[in-house]
Amino acid sequence: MLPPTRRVVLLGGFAAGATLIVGCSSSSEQPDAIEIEPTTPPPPDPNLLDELALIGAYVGAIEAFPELRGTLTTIADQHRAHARELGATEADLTAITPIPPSAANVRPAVTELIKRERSAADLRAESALAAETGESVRALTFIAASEASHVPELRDVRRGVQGRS
Amino acid sequence: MTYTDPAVVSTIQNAIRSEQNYVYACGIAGAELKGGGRRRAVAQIAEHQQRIQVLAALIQEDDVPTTPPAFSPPIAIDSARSARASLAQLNNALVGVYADMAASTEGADRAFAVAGAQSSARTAVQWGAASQAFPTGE
Repeated sequence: MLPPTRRVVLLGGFAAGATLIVGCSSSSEQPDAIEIEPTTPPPPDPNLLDELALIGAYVGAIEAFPELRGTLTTIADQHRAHARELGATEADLTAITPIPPSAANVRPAVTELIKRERSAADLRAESALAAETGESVRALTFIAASEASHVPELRDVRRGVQGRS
Repeated sequence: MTYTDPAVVSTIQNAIRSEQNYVYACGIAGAELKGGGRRRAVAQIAEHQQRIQVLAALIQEDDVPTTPPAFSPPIAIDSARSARASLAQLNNALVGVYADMAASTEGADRAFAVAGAQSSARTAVQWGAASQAFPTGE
């Protein structure tokens, strides 16, 4: 079983964004100008924005609680893979700003990440239901499943830090 | 809805076969597991049989695959450890099966497939697998 093709989710939306207007001279019938009609850029994909925010939350949590670096880095890397699948560039990923956890203690900080993952899994599932192409549905289903699996993984992390916070 | 398009029927048949195999593997695993692990494996037999019934209702009766007499999991089950590893691997493989079904169905049937993929990925981690960006069971 192969993972979904990269960027399948956004390609359709961007491909429809530009309109070519071709003018022909009367003598040669060759195009004498190609103009690209200015179009409104497509709105940012909420799934991509959410993935970038999730990565920021993980980076922020790792900075605040370096002892969680192992598992959290692994999950953050999976979100980077999701973001790439949704069309993120390496520049997008490099520009991510850490989002510090609002909790001062490690346990509630992990709980925050669990809530974010649940919300992300729900959003990706809803988007899979609304997606128009089979490739998009498949990609979003894989991502929704991966994010759902982060919840029990983070619960294990939270159990491991119980009593240390 | 009853699907008759061969491509869609094929993805649903694949889901049924994978679920039948998972039920069989849960039975073997249950014999090796103890305590909570055994209880979970037994509970999952009923849960996945229920899924098979839902899937079977989506296609014509003649298209429903018969339950095979036996199944050899890719990770052989001969201990509690291998039982957990095998059930985790089979659950991750189910994610891809349900993703394929989601891509070829619509509405409530697609929602069922997406929920099946999410549940399978969660269960894989609960059996001890590490999460994956794109769970495939490989």
